[in-house]
Amino acid sequence: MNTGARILVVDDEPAILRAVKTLLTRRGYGVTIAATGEEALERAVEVDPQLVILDLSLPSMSGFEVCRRIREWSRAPILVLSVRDEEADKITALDFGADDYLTKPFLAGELLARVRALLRRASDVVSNPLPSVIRTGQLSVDLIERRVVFAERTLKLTRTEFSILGELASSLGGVVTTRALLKGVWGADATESDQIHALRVHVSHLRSKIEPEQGRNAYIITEPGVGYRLASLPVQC
Amino acid sequence: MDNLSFRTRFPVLFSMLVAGTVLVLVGLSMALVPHEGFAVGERFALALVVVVGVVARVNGLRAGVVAALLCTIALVAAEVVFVGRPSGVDTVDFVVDLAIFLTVAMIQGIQTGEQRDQEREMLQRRHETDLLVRLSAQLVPDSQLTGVLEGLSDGLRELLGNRKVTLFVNDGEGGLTVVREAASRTVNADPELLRIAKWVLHNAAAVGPTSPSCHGTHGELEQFVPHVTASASSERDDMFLPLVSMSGVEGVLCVSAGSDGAPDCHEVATLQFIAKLLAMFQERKRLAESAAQIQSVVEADRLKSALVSSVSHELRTPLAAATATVSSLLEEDSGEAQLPQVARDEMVFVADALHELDGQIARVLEYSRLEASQWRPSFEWNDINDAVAVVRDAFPQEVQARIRLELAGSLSPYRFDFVQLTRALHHVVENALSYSRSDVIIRTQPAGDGVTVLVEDAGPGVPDSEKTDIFDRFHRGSAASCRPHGTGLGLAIVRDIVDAHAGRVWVEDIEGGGARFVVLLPNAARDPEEVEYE
Repeated sequence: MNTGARILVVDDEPAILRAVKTLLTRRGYGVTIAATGEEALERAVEVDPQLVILDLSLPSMSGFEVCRRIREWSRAPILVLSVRDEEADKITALDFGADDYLTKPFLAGELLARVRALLRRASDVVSNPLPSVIRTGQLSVDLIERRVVFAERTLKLTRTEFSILGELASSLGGVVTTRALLKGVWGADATESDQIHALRVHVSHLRSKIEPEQGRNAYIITEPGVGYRLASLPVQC
Repeated sequence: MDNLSFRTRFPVLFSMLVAGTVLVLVGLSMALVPHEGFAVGERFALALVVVVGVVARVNGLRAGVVAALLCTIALVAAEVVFVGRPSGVDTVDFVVDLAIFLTVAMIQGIQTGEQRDQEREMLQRRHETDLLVRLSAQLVPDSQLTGVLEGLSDGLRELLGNRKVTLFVNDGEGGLTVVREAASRTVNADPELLRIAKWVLHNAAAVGPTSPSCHGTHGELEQFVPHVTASASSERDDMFLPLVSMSGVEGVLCVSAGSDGAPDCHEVATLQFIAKLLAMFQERKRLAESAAQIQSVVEADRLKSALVSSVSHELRTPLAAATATVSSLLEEDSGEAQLPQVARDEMVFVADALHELDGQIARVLEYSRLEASQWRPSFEWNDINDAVAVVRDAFPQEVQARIRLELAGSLSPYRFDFVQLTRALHHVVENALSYSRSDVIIRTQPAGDGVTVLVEDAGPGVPDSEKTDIFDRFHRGSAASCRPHGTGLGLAIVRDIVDAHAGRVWVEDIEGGGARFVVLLPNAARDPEEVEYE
């Protein structure tokens, strides 16, 4: 049971608010709800949530705008929950500062797993704002020493492979868009198809070195049409 | 036509009347008016000069020269008849007088004739310019061709005499539509006229009488093909001009020969200019109509997208609430809310039904989006093995255990729309899982410039008679009794997505039983700009 974590849930549909509040409250989270963008911003200031679950289709103020304004002063993870499943919406939400995106309808287990991962990441950031070593599952990424260890075995990565893994590790658990990856690895002008081709090749090579089972991506998860995520898994020493 | 004067309509008769009047007056003056100091011949000669001038003024240069010669002969005749044959010194005087008269008459005839010809030429140019200005003003995209043709034919009658004008318009299917035959209220063209016009349409070449050899004075005029080359039974006097725009041949302008015979080079140049104007007009009209149609389609797509978005929200929101509630109750760590087994079994049933409902809604919405003409694949480099892994991982854990991957190693990235292809493969795999109780195998293989994804199951297979039909909308196969629920859209969506990638999808039998669905993307390794996508 998770006690004390403050979660703000924003949705204009009473049925969704009721279902999500019930689901999270039963798991020990402290839940505050809001039905409009304006109410969400007020509640956010009042309760200073550790996580925001936000619907995009809100009356009067869009979810994108709420996301942007919360991000101006809060580093709390934002999980977007929406019926809109177009990739463009997901990318826009991530560009506005969201950390993850879940399409409705969703299974309770999915939502809970995302909530746990985001809270764990936020907690790690609070305790160590500038982590040099990022751990997930059996993987350890040392950003300063540029060393990657998997299951106590040091991996040999190329410079580009390490850059890609470093970008993903820096946003552990969150989605990094393809565009952000290209810019992080190849620079501001890296949007050409050649770089995308190279990205796919390097990610494929990274997976062959990191993933324990070929064809099953447990660590580097593809977000179709959006980008990649380095899964936040319980650390195994 | 009604406003043309007697002089213009009957120039020869007018000339003769004037000449006759002058001669009568001269004759009367010689008979009745004393003429001392002014010889008969001199008076007659002056009168004849006037006649030459009048004839040249009315009929032009050539008529003036002929009149000068005739009047000279008339003067000789009058001198011999009224005065008598000259002799000795008188003969020399007479010949000199005659030479002077002929010279003066010729000069009069030539100058007056040339002046008249130039004035007529200027009048002709002014008429042509007026006609072309009127035609240009009429040629706005929303004007009707019949109205344009009426104005055109009226103007052409002024310029070219009594000519019949027929306008044929390209119907877009290789044929011609007769817009109007001017100077007639019927729209039934002579069959041979239509045949020649079709030849002109397909060959973009002008057909007409002998090409006028006037290059240099009117620039490069189009060469005319003989009528018999254009499938006519014999040579005719009609002229057929193709209306050629930047998009192709918009139609054919047919001008029949009038009573004046075939048009001269200047008239041909004017007609060719008119043909160019009409071609531009027709092209603009056609493009304006296409733009209006596209606008309608865009608006319809926008409304369809708005409807899809609305339906998506209205249906999925209560579905999301129900799914979240049911799945929450089924979570193992639901603490004190432990359900009795019977209730749990019922909740599992409800959860499955909700999931199925969501799948059906997703398929309908997906199909609506694909039907919208604005959708085009986003061709980015992607890892096909990654796409297959994503497809497998999207199924519930217990279903993933039934999916085996046999992926080709070291495949290069290929160009495809990751989201759409994974949706297509999801439908193929879902279809295979629903008809087969055993494992489903997904393989990837390179294929020339592209890649193949195969999905194999051990189900009942697909009868030969249905191998094509199963990709049609709303088709439910004969094995549908194994799977009572379904919209019949899944495989239709697969075909649409694969078609948009210029690929192919088909089903074949597996030896020993089962079906193999093959998705082939033959150009996935090539630059999309080199491939013709629909």
